[in-house]
Amino acid sequence: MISVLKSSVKCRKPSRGSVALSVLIFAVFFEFGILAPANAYIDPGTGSYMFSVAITVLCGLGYALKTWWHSLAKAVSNLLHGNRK
Amino acid sequence: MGIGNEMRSGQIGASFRDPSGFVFVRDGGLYRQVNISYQQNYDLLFSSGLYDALAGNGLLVPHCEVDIPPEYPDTAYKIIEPQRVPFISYPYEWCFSQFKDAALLTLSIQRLALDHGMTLKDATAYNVEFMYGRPVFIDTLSFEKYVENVPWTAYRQFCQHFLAPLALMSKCDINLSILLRRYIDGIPLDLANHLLKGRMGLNLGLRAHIGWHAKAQKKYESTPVDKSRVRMSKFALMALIDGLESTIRRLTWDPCDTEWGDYYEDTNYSQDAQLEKKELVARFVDKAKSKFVWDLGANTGYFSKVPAEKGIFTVAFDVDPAAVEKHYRENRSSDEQFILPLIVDLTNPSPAIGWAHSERTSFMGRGPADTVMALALIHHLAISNNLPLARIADFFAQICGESLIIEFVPKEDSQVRRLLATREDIFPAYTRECFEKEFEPYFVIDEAASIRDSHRTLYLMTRRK
Repeated sequence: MISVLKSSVKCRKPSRGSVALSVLIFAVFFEFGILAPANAYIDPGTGSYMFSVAITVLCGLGYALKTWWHSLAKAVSNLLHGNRK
Repeated sequence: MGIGNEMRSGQIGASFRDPSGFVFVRDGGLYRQVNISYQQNYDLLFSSGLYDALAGNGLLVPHCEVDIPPEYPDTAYKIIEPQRVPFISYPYEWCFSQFKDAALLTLSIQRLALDHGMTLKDATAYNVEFMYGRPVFIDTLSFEKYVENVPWTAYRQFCQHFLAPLALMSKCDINLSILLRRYIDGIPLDLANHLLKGRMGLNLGLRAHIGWHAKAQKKYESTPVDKSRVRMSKFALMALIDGLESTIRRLTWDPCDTEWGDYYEDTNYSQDAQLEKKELVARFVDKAKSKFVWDLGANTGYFSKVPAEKGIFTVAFDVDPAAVEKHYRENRSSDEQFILPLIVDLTNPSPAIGWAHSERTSFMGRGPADTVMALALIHHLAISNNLPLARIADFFAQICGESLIIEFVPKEDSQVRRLLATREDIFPAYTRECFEKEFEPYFVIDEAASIRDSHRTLYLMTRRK
């Protein structure tokens, strides 16, 4: 995920906007702060732990679209239902 | 039921990894000790409403708190008695749809947990069992308080226990769930990725959660990383769950073109003879006063329905994944609650595996069954697998607690002639007389009835004490 981001920035001769976006993504993922350690008896696996955060970029886009679509469909349905009354 | 004769009093062999508590047996009862270290999370499970939401909807096995001495008083907070699972089964015995339903259950439980401020701290397939025809979560101590921005620690385990086996069963070979007998903590993702090479197509979910995930595991295996600096918002976590669910839902398998999947369309019996055999089996089940039945070689469960219709819990075993798949799907759509279909090869049944051979009980260790049914089976064991009748009798004696309903299929039968068509007949002792003689040391023959329009004989036998 990180290497994909880096290569995409290189190939496109990054604008200030895309560089800022990359920085933002890194900041979101690797924000500094004190957090409670994972209270797990199983080993989450370092690679899996990191990857699960990185993959949510893809998952998040799809989920956001799905959530937005459902909200839109519900709003339209309420509107049509309201108009029929 | 639900324990098997390998279990003794005390902490059970499979329950030791989680410091939150463990399962133990005492005086025939099954209990769970909740340790003091889990007190806050246990109380939160109730105060948050999550327990009611899960148990009330049949997603989590319900329990009651009991006042008995703890197994280890120094660490105990409470003792709970969960509702007993009728028969413990393992993921490597599940058909494709059972596995998929178990995976989707785990994800929906994680969603519900997050809605109530909690999260699953593990996602092992062994936390799911089948009760009344549906998958149910059995580990009450799997829940912990959700801490904002902490990633899901059970993600790796979910991918190895559920996603990888399902992907392999769907995309490569249905029998690959057997790998779970070798890899008790789920199929390693690098192995799954290797086997799935060229088969993932445009399935981005599989490529990500298995392929890229495996590469990330390898990349960071020796790299020290400060996990306390890694954050995942709740929205991102919900998105991850949603992504996993979509990936699982897209995995399918079509149960066709297997050796035994269409058995009942190609049998020896006329329709009337088939019905008469069914009535005979029903009469034998009544006469045996069966309480719990194992149906061996059950295929798609035509005869498993006989005890099930009487409200007798029946475990229906068959070697063919397609037959078990069809059986499960039919039961699911008809809301059948008294049959559990499972995949077991009787010539190489599930062994005892795990630490000290005691984490997962063997097939025989989960018996004996009150009544065993073995219809249209014996010729497959004796002829196809070269098993002497004496050994077959000994095997049935070990798994049968009270009664045996068994069908002898002689050489005159067309199914046996088909088995012998391409091989030398080295079975001079495979006769009805020898069959009765070999079973006689272990069983008393209560009744023997000829099956109409065939050369077969159905026996009701009682185990000698």
